[in-house]
Amino acid sequence: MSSALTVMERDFRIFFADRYMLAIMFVNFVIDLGVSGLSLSRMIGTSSLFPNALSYFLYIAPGANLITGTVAAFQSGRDIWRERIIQDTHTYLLTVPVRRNVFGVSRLFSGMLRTTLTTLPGTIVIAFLYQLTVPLFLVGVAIMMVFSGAVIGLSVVAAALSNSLELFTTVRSTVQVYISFFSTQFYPSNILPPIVATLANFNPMTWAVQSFRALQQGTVDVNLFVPLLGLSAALLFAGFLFYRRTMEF
Amino acid sequence: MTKLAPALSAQLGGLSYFDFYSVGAVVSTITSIAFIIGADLFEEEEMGLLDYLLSLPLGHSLFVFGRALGGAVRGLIYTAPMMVLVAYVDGYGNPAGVLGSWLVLFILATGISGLSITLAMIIRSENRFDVVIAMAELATVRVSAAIYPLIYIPQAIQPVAAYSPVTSASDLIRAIVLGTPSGISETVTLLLFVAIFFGLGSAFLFRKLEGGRFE
Repeated sequence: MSSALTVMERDFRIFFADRYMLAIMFVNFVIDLGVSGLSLSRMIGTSSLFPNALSYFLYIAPGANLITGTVAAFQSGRDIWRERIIQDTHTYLLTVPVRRNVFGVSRLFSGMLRTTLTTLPGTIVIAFLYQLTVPLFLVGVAIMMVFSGAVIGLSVVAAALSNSLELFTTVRSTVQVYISFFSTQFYPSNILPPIVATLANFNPMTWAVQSFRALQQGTVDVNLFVPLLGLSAALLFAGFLFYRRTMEF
Repeated sequence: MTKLAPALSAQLGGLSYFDFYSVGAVVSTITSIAFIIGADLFEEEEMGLLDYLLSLPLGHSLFVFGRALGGAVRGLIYTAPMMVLVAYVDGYGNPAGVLGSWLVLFILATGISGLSITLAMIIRSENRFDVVIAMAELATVRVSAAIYPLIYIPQAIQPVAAYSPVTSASDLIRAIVLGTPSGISETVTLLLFVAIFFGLGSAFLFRKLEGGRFE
């Protein structure tokens, strides 16, 4: 247990090495929500699905925070990629007296915690917009934590498979496009083209953003939370397997 | 989006939002790709490749010029086929116009490469650079009329978005491909942006090379 905590402490030390990182991430969220969110809401205006611009703004607001979470998760994945390809510290880290499975799980878990922490200011803003009670806000944090497992898994798979910056960056962009546009982040599933609607069911963003929207109604919808949990567990496990593979020679 | 807001087309002067967005998607893509050049400079320094590159038999000024233009050419190679596809989807078939669109994309990418190199030279930490680049990319694309018309952007930000190079490039390409009205100000804004950041990026990189390696 203590070795796992040491591994996680190291990740957090790297994370806090730059004290402006959290602020910069929050600015990303503000641009996403304050510029794009407001502009898109004004474009939609009044429609059959959304009675006014505010309702669409509230509809897409959690997505901005989840996208910030995706960016933060890929930052953790990039740390692992840099250790392998640039810094060449990967082999050294495997010599420290920590079992490899413990080491791998600790890295993934610290990535989840870092992502949840990075998105915490955004989660507070969403809670404020949705006027959530404290217990529902804590459920919101839990949704972010579970969602972060999915994107950390994806980022570690990318880090384990990429041998060049270009490849890692391309995979990151592709994942972000998939997370954003093949989900219900911007549109309800009933207006998506059928194939996109099907793909959206296998996207953690869909279930995470829907879970957040349920909180706005004052309810915790377990039917939305369980698929999110399942997808996140699967992607996290995939991340673990690919990361574990990089530890074998 | 058109399904959600059927009245949008009328507000865009009869232009479908799909056509509007298709041009914006290409401009956003080349903006993202052009930003990668700064990250490349960081990686080359960390891998020790920069010292080798500086030992090559070519002048430092030529090296700087080549890197900035290289970033733009690379972006164009990626997006040129996309531009052809967008022209086809939007029902535009004039090869000269497509070439004109490529030229606009190339000019934008040159300026963005300059901006990326400038940031790479100013920021010392590679981790921070990565996050700042993500923010700069987000800001240049989102605070512009690439993916939504200027009139829908919050009023406080509209003046900034109006003079964004991404707005200018999008408007110029829309004028070519979709026939939307466009003035001389878009061209001036775009060229000014390129002149400023291409110059700044080159100056910073040149100074860094002449002053020794990165710290």
